[in-house]
Amino acid sequence: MCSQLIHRSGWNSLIVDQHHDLRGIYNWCVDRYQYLILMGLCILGTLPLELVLGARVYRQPRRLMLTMIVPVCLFAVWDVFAIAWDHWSYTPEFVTGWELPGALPVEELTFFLVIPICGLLTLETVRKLRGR
Amino acid sequence: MMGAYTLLTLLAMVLVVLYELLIARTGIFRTGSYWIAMVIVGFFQVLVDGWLTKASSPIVNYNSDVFSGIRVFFHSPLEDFGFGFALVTLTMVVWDQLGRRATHSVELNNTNVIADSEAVIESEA
Repeated sequence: MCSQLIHRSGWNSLIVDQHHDLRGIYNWCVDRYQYLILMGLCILGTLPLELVLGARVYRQPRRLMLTMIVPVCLFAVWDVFAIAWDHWSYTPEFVTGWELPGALPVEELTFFLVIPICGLLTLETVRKLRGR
Repeated sequence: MMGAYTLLTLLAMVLVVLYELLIARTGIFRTGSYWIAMVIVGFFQVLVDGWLTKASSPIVNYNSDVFSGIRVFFHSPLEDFGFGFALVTLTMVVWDQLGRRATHSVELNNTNVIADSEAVIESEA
């Protein structure tokens, strides 16, 4: 009976530990990618604008790449200063911790690529549907 | 209340508008498609920015000393919408600038093609 009790309490603590570990593993796997996953969903969500409605944004890769240089560079500089001046900060739990020079989270660079591309896809789709 | 983020946002908006009106001159502000696209982009910004700024577990935390203190929709600082306007509008203006150049050269090429085909027709006749 005694051994049974020990066994049971051991089992219980194992369950508790396992629950705790699973929570930790979940945080490690999912929460730190929250920002990147959100950006990925933006790209996936707007993909039909290109593939189904024919926005023709990704199909002009040279024009797209040249365009993106401008907002990415300007807004990344703004972001680096805003972080340095403590205008805003990122919750460590929800970002990967991968940082570019100037303490710029890689998520922010992704944001400056993804959001403008979503904007261009929207603009070109509206133009196409309205017949330019 | 005007914080540093408020001022920088207003500055960015003014600079982007001036860039279009004085330098790029794509005429994008005179097209309905631009304004319709911006309304759609604005709607999705409420959701995406809202996820980043939501009060329950924000991904981005704002220093309350540097912005107006006005939070809209899902706890997003009002300034974020000016930031988004400047970011997306600048991208669209540059995109149109580069496209205009491409369209122009295509038109030139087409003119050449037409001229060539007319020369061919003439020589065949």
